[in-house]
Amino acid sequence: MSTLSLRQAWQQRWRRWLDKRIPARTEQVLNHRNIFIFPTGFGAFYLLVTVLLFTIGLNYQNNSVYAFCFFLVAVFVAAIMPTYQNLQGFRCRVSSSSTTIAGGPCDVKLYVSAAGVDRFQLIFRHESEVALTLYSGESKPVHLGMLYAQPGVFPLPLVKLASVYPLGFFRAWTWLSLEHLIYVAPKPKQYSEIEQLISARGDRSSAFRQDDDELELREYRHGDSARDIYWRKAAAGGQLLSKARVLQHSSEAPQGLLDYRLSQAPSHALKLADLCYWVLRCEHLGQPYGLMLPDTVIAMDCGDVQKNRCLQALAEAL
Amino acid sequence: MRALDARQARMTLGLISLSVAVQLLGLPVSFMVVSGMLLLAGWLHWLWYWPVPKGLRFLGLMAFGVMIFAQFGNFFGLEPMVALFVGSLLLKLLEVRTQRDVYLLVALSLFGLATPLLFNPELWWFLAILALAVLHVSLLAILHGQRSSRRALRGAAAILWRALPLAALLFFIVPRLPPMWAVPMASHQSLTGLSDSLRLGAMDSLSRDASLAFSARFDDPDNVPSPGQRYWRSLMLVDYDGDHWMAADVSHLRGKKPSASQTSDWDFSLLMSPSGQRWVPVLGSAMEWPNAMEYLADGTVRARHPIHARQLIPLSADQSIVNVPLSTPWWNRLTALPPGLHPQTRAYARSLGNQYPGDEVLTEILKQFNEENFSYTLQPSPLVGDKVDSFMFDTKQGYCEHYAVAFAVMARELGYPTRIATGYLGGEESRVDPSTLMVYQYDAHAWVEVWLSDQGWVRFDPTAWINPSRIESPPELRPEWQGANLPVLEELAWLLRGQLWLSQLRHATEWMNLNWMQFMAGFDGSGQAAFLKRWLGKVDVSTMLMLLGVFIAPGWLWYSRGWWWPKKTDVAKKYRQLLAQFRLPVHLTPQQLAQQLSVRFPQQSELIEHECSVLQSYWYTQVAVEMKHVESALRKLKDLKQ
Repeated sequence: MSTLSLRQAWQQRWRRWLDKRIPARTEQVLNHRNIFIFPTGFGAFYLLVTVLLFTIGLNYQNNSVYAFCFFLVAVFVAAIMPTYQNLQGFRCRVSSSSTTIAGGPCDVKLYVSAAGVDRFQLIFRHESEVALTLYSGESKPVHLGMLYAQPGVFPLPLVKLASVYPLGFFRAWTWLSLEHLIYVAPKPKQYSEIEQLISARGDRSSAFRQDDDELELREYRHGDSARDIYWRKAAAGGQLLSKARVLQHSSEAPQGLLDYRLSQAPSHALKLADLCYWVLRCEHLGQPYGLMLPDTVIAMDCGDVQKNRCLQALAEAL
Repeated sequence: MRALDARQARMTLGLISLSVAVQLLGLPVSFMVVSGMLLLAGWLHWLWYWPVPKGLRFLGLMAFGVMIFAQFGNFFGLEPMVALFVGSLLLKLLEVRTQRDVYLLVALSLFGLATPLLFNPELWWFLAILALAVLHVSLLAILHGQRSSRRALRGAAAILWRALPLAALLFFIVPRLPPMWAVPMASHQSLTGLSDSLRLGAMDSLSRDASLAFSARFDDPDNVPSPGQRYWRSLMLVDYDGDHWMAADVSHLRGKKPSASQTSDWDFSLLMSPSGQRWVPVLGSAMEWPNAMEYLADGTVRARHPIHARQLIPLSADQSIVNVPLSTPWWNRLTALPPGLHPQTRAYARSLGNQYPGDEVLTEILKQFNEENFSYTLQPSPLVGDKVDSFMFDTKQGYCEHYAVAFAVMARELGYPTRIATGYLGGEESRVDPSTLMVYQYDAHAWVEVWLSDQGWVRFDPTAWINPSRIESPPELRPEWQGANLPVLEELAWLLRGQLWLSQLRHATEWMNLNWMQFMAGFDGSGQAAFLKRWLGKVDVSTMLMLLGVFIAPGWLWYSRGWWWPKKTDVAKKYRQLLAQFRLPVHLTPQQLAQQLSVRFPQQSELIEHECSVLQSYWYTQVAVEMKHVESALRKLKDLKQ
C-alpha cells in the first residue's frame, strides 16, 4: 500500500468521523460537541517557562518561587475556559447555494451572530483568512472569498473557525460544516450567433407576452431591479408591477429559448460556455431568455433570479 | 504573523519596562543606568519612530558583558545571570514587531519576575509580583483583540480567581524534593548587623537602621522573656590587640553541650533576615539547635554556612550563661591586655581595685560611670590619641561599644577573665501576636561578660547603668534619639513611627508579613508532611486515592448518567408508547384517548376518565400537576386489562 493511499484512507476516516460529529447543516451552533481545544506553540513555550521556574524553586528551595510557578500553571489551566467561551454559542448561518463563473471570484456569505459575551479575533480560514470581532448580540456577514477554476457543482468545503483569545495559550477551533452548494458555471465564450441558437419552434408564448396592451407591465418578481418597479401604481396601494424589462424589448431581437443542440461549439463543455456567454449577454441587454439543455428547460424570463437559475443549470449540466 | 498596532506596542513597552525595573532593584546602579538608556531608546523608537542604530544592540550587549565582569568577576553567580537576563530582555524589546515577539517577551518577563522572589521573601514582594503577573495576563488579552483595558483587566482578574484554588492545591500537594544540583547563591547581600570584630570609634554614629534583624516566635505565649532578659548573644569577642576586639576562631570553641539535664527556659523559632554571616542570636545559652548549626563552647551557635536566605531556625535556650571550667591557656587569653596601652584607664582601675577588695569593685566601676558625668549619645565626639583613655577622661560620652570596651579593659586589668558580647538587646512585642518579638538592626548592642571565680560567667551591661531607658523604652521615646542631627526623611520616618495608629498598622502588617515568611520558610519537605498530616490525617497512597475518589466519583457518575441514574420521565414519549400499545393514532389528546378506551374497557371507564383527565390537565391547563400523579396515571393506563 502506498503512502498516498494510506493518507487518503486516513483522511477519509477522519472525514467520516468529523461528518458524524459535526453533521452538515445550514446553521451551525458551536457547543462542546464541535469545539476542539489544544495548546498553541506559545502555550507550550509558556509551560516550558513554568518548568524552568519549578527547577529554580527546587534548586533554591524557595517556596515563593514555587508559589509563583504554580500560580502561572494554574493561569494556564484557567485559560481553557475563556478560550472555549469565545466560541461557545456562536451561530453561523449560510444560504443554501451560491453561483459563480469559473475563474471569477466566488463570494460565500456567512451570517454570524453570538449572544452573551464579546467574541474576539475569530479567524475563518479557508484559502484565505478572515478575522472578525463580534460584540455581544451583534450579527454580521462574513465574506469568504474563494476561487474555482473548473466549472461544476461543489459543496462548501470545511471552513476552519479558530480563536486563541484571550491569552493565546490555547487554540479553540471548529470545522464549520455548512450545507451549501457552489454552482460554478463554465467560463463564457462565444461560438454562435444569437439567431443560430434560438430554435425555429422557439416558444414565443411566455406567460406575460400574451396581451400586447399589457406588455409594459408585469407582476413584480423577486430579483427585479427596484428601478423597474412601477412605483406610481405601488404608491396608490396597488400591487407591485415591473415595467422596464418588457418595455426595453426591441421587437426586432429574436426571442426564444437558447438551445443547447443548436450551439456551434465543438464540444459539450464549449457548448455550455457558448450558452453561458449568451445568458450573460441577454441579461446585460435586459432581454428575456430561456434555456433548453439536454435534460432541463428553463422558461423565458429576465433578472438576477433567472440568471442564477440558468447558470446553475449550466453548472449542473457539466 | 500579525503585526502590532500602536496601542498594543505602547502597552507592551510600558509593562516590560515596569517588569525590568522591578528586576533591576537587586542589581548595582551601573546596570540601572545602562538599562535606563536602553529603555529610553526603546521608547523613542516606539513612540517617535526613532530608527534604532544598527550598532546599538551590539553596544548594549557589550556594555552588559563588561559591567557584569567588572562588578561580579564572573558570569556564573545569581546576579550575573539576572543581569544577563535583564539585558537580553531589553535588547529584545528594541526589535518587537509582531505578536510572536510579544509572546516571547511576556514569557521571558514572567520568568524574570521570579528572580526578585529569590532575594526578597516578604509578603509585599510576592503580592507585587503577582499583580505584575496579572498585568501580563491582561496584556495578552489586549494583544488578542480586546479593545478595552478595563475589560482586559477584569478578564485577567476572573482568570486569576479561577486559578487560585488550583494554584493553592498544587502548592500544598506537589512534593518538596531536595535540590537537583548546586546553584550559585546571591553574593551581594549587604552585610547588615554585627561584624565579627569591634573597634572603638570605627563608626561615627550608631545606625538607626529600622530594618528587621530577626523575629522570634515563642512557643509558649505566657513565657516570653521580660525586657531586661532580652539579651540576644551572637558573638563573643575575646582577643584584644589594643585596637580591635575579635571573635575567636570557631575551631577554638568547638565543644560539647554540657549535660542536658536542665530544662530550657525558652523554646522559640527565629526567622533570620539574611546577614551574609554565620552567627545566630541566642537568648542566654543554646540548649537545642538544628543540624545545620554547630554549638560553640560559649553557649552560642553558628550556622555552618553564611545565612544568605531567610531561614526559620527552631531553638531552645537557657537564661544562664553556660559555664565550662577555664583552662590555663584560656584564662591567660581572656585576661590579656596589650602592654603599655591605656595607661590612665588601667591606673584608674588599679586604684579602684585597691579601694574595693573583692568582686564588688566591678559594680563600683559601673557606679563610677553613673556618677562621673558620663553621658550616653549616639553621636559622640571623636576620640583622639589613646582611644580608651580619651573616652574615659576627655569626652566621657559614647554608646554601648565605648562603655563595653572601657569596662572590659578595666576588668582585665584587675585580672578578671573578660569578653565582650555583641548581639541585640531588646525586641518589640508584636501587638497582634504578643508571643512574637521583633528585633531591629537599631537594637544592636554590646556588653561585657566577666568570669567570677565563685559564679562563673556574669553579665555586666555598663550601658544599662548610664542609660536605663535603653532597655525599657521603645526607640522613638529614648532621649538619645531625640534631637540628633538626622536627614529630614529619616526624621520624618521616625516621627511617623511614633504615631499610634500608624504603629498599629505597622504591627498588623508586620505580623502578616512575619506569618507569611515563617510559613514559607517552614514549608519544606517535613513542613509539608506535617501540614498534610494535620489536614488529611494519615497520608498514604490509598488515602489519597480514596479522597480523589470521593471528589471525582460523584462528578463522573453525574457526567455519565447511565441506567442507574434516575431519569426525568419523558411524559410525551411514555404517552406515545401508550397510544402505540392500544394501536391508536399518535395525535389523540388524552380526552379522545379516554373516549376510545372507555369503549374498550367499559367497566373501568371511571378510572380511565380520571387518569386521562390528569394527563389532560398536565398538558393543557395552568394547574401544576405533580409528577408522581402523572407517572401513576401513565402506569395505570398502561396496565389496563379486560
